[in-house]
Amino acid sequence: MSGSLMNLFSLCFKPFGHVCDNSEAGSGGGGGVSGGTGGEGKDGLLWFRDLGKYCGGDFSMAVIQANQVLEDQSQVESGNFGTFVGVYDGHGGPEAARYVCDHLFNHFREISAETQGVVTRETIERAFHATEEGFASIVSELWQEIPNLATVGTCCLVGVIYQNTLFVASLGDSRVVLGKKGNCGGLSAIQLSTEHNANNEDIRWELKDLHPDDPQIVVFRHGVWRVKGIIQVSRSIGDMYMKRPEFNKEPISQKFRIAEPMKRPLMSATPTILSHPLHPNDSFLIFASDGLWEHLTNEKAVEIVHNHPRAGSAKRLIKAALHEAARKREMRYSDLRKIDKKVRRHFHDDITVIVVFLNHDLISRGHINSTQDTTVSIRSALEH
Amino acid sequence: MAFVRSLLGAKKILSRSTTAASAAPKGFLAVYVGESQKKRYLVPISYLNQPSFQALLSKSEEEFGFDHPMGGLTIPCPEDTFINVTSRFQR
Repeated sequence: MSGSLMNLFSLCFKPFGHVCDNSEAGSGGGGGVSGGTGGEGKDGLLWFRDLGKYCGGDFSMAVIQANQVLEDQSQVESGNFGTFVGVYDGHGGPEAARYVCDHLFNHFREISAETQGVVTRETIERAFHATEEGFASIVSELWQEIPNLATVGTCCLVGVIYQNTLFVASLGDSRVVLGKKGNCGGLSAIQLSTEHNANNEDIRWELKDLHPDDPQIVVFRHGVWRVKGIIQVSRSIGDMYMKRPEFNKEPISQKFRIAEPMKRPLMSATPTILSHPLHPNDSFLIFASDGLWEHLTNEKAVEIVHNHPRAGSAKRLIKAALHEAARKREMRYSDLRKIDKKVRRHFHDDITVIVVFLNHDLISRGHINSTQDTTVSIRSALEH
Repeated sequence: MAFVRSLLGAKKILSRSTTAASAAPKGFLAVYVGESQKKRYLVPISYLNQPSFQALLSKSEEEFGFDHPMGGLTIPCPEDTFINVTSRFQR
């Protein structure tokens, strides 16, 4: 049994991500915020952290499971380096999302240390690249034992707050939406992430430009557009069967096979990165996997967060999505809640939500906070 | 068909020709059945626990993924197959 196999198994048997919150209760600033952390708990297939503190203010986090094995992972890391938020929506299995959650932030920290902690687009891009290469090497080492690892991948949505800049990096179709105060007192919803899904026409054009010699690069199948008729997202960590020809052959399942020789990778692991200078009117950020956005509009999500107490924001968004999912399936929400995982997937996907409230006093005071060395490190904690 | 349906007990499985989606009563959900033409049935939530009903959902998963084109659960099998499977749940 190879070392990589043991490494992979240790990932699978890790019951919970580590939860460590050293932020000082009652530290200055944050008007109206109660000190300490709001309840963390479980309710059936739901895990939630109603309210926590990160170095720039409060956050709220929740995950609901639908798949037999949870395919979502997420994390919030915050300290004198800034803040890192990650949502990883896996597909084809849980291994890629778990791998990313275990390694991407660490690569980010190592790479930013090379420039004395300064964060740029390049820092984030290199961290993604190192993570992709790390997962690829595991797929390669385990090809003889677990060839289906080649068909596992994950979307990645990362937000980094460094000084007064928010960086958003995305692969796939998770989404982050900013709730921004208008001058007239209202709140608007501004989407900050790019979605790499073949159902977006601009993505189809991008793929056709990259593969001008392949009329079948995007195929309409089962009511949706898919890359080679197989997968909807065009970017991810993992999915090696769509990136390296040596992983698109027997013994992986026929449904993942591509008939013609692969001239170049069909999917990419290069994130789209946006940098957004933070503005005092920026109120909060909603990071979520596509399972949420399938049921809620950006505007509705922002309205829900804005009109209710901060504690429990993420859980409240999930509940609103489940109400909408139940309505679509012509059933009661109370009945939907009773359905167990696996069958549950016919009603909604795994959903991860992280709401990050922006306290601009704390954010701009970052250099002062550095003397306190507060550190937050939290991962979603649903059993795998 | 009417004779077969009466044996099933109309109160357990309600079939409606109306295309308008009405709210399902508590404990029930809508299921759309048929290979081309889809017919709407209301079935008890408990059917979801039955392995043979789950097998029908797997067939749906093969054809539609987890999207269900009618909004409600959509099962692409002949109606009489569906009736055969579900009739066993009630004995």
